[in-house]
Amino acid sequence: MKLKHFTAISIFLLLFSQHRQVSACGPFPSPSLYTINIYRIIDTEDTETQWISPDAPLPSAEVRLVMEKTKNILLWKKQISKKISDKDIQKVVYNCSSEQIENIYALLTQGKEEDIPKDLKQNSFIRHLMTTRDVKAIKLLVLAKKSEEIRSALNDTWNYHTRQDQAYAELDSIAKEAMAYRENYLLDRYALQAVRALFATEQYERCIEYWLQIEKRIPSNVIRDMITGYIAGCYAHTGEATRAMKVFFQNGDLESIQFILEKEKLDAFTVFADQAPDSPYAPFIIQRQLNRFGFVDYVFKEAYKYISANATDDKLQHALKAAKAARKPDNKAYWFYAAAAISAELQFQDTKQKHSEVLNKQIDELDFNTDYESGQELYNKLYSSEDLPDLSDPNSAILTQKQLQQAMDYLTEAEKHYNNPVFLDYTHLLRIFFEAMTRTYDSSYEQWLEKEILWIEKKVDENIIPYKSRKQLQLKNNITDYDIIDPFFQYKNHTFFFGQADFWNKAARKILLKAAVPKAMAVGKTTRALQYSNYAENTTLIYQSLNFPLISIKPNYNNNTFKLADHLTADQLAAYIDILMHPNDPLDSLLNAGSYREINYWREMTGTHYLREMRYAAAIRYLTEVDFRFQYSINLINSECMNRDPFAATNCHTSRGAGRHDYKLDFATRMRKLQDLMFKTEDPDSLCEIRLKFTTGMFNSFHECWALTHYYKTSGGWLNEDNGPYTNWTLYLSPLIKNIEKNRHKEFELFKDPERKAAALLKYGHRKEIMEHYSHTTAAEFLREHCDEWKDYVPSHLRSKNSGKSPNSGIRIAATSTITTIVLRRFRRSMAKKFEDVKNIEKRNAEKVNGRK
Amino acid sequence: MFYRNLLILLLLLLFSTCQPDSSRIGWNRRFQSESTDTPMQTESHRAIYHWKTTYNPNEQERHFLCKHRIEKLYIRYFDLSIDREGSSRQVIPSAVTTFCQPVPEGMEIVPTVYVTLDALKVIAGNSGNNHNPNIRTYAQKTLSYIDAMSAANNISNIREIQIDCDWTNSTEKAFHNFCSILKKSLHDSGRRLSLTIRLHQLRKTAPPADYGVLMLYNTGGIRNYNTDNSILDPKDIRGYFNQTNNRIANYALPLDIAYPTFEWCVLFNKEQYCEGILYNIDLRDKAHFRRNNSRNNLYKVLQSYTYGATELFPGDELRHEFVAYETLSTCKQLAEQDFLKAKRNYSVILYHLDHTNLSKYTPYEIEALYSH
Repeated sequence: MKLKHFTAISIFLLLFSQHRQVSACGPFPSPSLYTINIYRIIDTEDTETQWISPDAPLPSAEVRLVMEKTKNILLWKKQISKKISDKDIQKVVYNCSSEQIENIYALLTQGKEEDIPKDLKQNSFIRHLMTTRDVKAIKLLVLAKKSEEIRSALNDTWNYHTRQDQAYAELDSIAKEAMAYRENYLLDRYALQAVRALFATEQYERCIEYWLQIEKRIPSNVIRDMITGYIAGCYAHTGEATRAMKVFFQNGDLESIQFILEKEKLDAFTVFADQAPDSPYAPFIIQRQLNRFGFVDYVFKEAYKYISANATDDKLQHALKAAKAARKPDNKAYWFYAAAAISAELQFQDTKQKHSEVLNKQIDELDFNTDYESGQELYNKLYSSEDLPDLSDPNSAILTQKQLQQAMDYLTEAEKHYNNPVFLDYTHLLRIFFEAMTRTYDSSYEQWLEKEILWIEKKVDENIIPYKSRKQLQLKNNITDYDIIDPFFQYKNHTFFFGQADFWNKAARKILLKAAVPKAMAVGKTTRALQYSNYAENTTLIYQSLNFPLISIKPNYNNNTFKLADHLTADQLAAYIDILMHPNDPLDSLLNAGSYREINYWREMTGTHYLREMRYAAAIRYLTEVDFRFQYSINLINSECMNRDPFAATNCHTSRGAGRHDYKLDFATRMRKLQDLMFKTEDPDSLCEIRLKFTTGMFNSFHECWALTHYYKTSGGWLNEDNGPYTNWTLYLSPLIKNIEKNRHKEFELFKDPERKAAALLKYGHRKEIMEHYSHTTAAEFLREHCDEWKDYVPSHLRSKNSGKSPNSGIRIAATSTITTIVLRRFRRSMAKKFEDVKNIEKRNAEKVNGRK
Repeated sequence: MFYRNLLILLLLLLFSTCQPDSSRIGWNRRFQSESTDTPMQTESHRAIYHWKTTYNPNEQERHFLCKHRIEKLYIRYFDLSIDREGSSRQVIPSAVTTFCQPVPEGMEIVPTVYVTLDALKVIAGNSGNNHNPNIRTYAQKTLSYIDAMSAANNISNIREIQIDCDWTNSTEKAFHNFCSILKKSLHDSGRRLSLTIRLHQLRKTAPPADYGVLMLYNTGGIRNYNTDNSILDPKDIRGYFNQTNNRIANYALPLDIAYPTFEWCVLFNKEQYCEGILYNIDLRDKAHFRRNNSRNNLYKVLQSYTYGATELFPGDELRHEFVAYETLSTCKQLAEQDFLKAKRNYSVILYHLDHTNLSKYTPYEIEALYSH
């Protein structure tokens, strides 16, 4: 009967422990996919942090100014005389001071040409002006020089200016003089001076008005281009940014474009799509937008601002418009690619939105005061940094063919217009991603995925820097292996370590973790899901470890694969070990080859899971096979929590120091022995003692000796998202511990011998019960002799009979034990409250659901 | 008798007037001696800093100046910092204050310039000696810029200029030289130089100036997650006062004291400082913030929240820092007892003129801070 009773309890506990184990559709951690960008149209390392690439084909501001200067000199020759040398024009226009030019003007107008300094007289430009007495040209130069001088002073940051400054008055006077000039000869140059002066004095509207009056009289030349630049600036300042942008696009003035984009908070992608779809800069702008979709990292968290559903929908319309308007085939293809990516993002956002609505509903129904942890967990899910819904619900990651059909159609259009092999590789990769998300998961899916993984592997191989080339490059650039790889941070020189191969590797990771893993989980293929995850995270490292002897792949207790494995059952892990050792099909072999295959790691984890499931015989089987040297590499080995006594009755913190390598195996073996003894022992009191010890081991293995069954726990309390992968720890473990504790207490009822029962009660800190029911026993006598507060344990109705002072009130040993008991009691009370809270919430939710029905 | 009554009436009128006029400023002359070479003991007056990029005090702030009879306004004119846009590392005036309204008539204005450490390093150049042309050039440029700003904004009642700089051991010599040049130029034009003095700088040789303002704020480690209040905490300043080797008494410059009347929130992520200081954030918004049970001034961000240019994300933490009057009072007592022991006269300056922050204190408390 007693054995049956015990067996029933044990089965209940086992069932309870099984209950939280993951079913195929149950919760599992979402992979951290940040920094993975699968969208790519051009080879570029990092277009997100740069506004444009330094290798961009359009000239930079400096180059543009040089070109402008050359054109200006040529125009002077055309307007004045072709006989004048370029050098002399340059000297007068660009190098002479304002004073020198004013002096020449004064002497010429006074008829004192002979007084002009010799070196200037020898200048063919000056000579020509003297000969022709071209006062208009010299006056223009005087205005230009004076204006330049004042504007230069205004631009000096060390000059504090106000609108009342003399400089403003002088510039205004220059503008008036230049605007008064009406002749056709040099009108463009006078107009430029007027526009410059008006712009510098912030008279933007007046400047535009003046330009509109003379615009038709100004020929198409470098001066007109310069004027239009200023006019565009005036438009930008008067709120007509779009009009300004048109001019800047024509002039290739990217600095001004950037200025307006920032000032007006305009979106570069939209502006380029509308106004410059054929711009050689368009690919950079598109790539930058695509990066924003991809890099949804903590670092790039601001990216979220740009991908609100409406803005993205708007972007899709602009991309399609640009794709139609573009004439250059490559740009056309790039815009279609962008449309495909945006269309897909819209679907992802839509799914995320729906997922958020479900979570929001759950949050609304939750009472934060009583269930803060659940609320926090829901918030974490809701504001997850993933660009897809939280994958703890794998079904939410599955998109239908119909949802991504539009994106695939745009991709086909992109492929049609640009036959470049590199670009076609990128479109193919995106197609793999889309199909991996939408195809039905079955054997054909696996066959198809195997083929595509091989294709991506080929791309990784093609793009990884070969050993010899790398070494040559390193020698040339004086870079050592240590400059490339940090033994702690794996790699630090991205280009040398991965080259472009990193993109392909990350793409594979995104496809597998974001599409294949949740799909496999959803159909219950947990082993396959773990294979995909392991491959996705380790394949490149394994490959590179062959190239770089410095790389050592260590057991990881924090990556996605670990997190996924940690949420699987022990049997599922055991099945994975079988596949690792004996692959069944070519896909197994392919995935195994790129996976972390340290068998000790997997066996140790499986053994730990069996301990978690309280299947000690199975745990022994796996833990025995783990090399003791490997056990020194597990994450908690240096922690004293692997050296606590799991059979301690009230306080396991009896030992200090680093963990023991055979800690888990030793525990499993002792538990197994206790199980055997329970079947063999007939004396009821001995059986009770054994059962108490067994239940204590079970209790402690989830409580103070949690390292026996888990890999993470915070030092201060329960786990949370920041400290490990167990978001549900509190929710599932507290009821479990509570139940074990409750059942342990029942064990005392089965004792026959009051002395042995009292001794056991003393050991487990149940002093009140001893004083109430077993006051005649040795244990009670011991309490009376050693405990200062033994009277507190005596029930009030018995106090008079047992009154008396402790004969040894100075001894504090028992008091310490009492404090421990009180602390434990408080803890248990709080746990019980938590458990009650969970139950209440469940009850309330059930009532709500029933109410709705 | 009539004349006596008239005189009393006039005196009463004069004391009750809101706007401190120039004649009153004249009575409260900072320096007892006209000598410009020897630092002299200060006289008491009420002052406050204006530390914004736009000078546009609202009605309540203007009322504050009147109500508490503020005689002296330290206005931050600009920062001296490095030109990050230019190709060469040039020191330029940045964050220049825009004056949207005239400064109060008759009030003494002290143009204040904050010199960043980076700028000071560039000013110092390779050598910190007096002959380094950089130091002289920048000192003269700084004065010219201040004068141009004052002239352009019709600010005339200027008797001194203040330099605020958190100079270090490596920049000490250069800073001293910079101050020395400034001081001489200012004295030549009948003006004085004052400096802000941080607590740790009390241990160093006093830079050449006419007096210093002892900053009793920013005394704790702002980057340290475990700091309770980096603005002012009595335990952070205790070591500087009431010592046997009285630093206040022995410091070579006369000192005024500046107390903080501002608040801010310091942003942390995973206990790491995030270079984010947020002002006037509504922490009562329970949908976004949740107060930490064990640390009262620590708030956890529950939902994403955009605050100006800063984005807050779930899990981020904000440390709200504000110095309550009681704490200020304790610190004031702690600091001022040293001044009294040393028989030093001093003025109290509040940092800074901002209604949102000042409204956290009652008029009585403000008066108590100014009184000594």
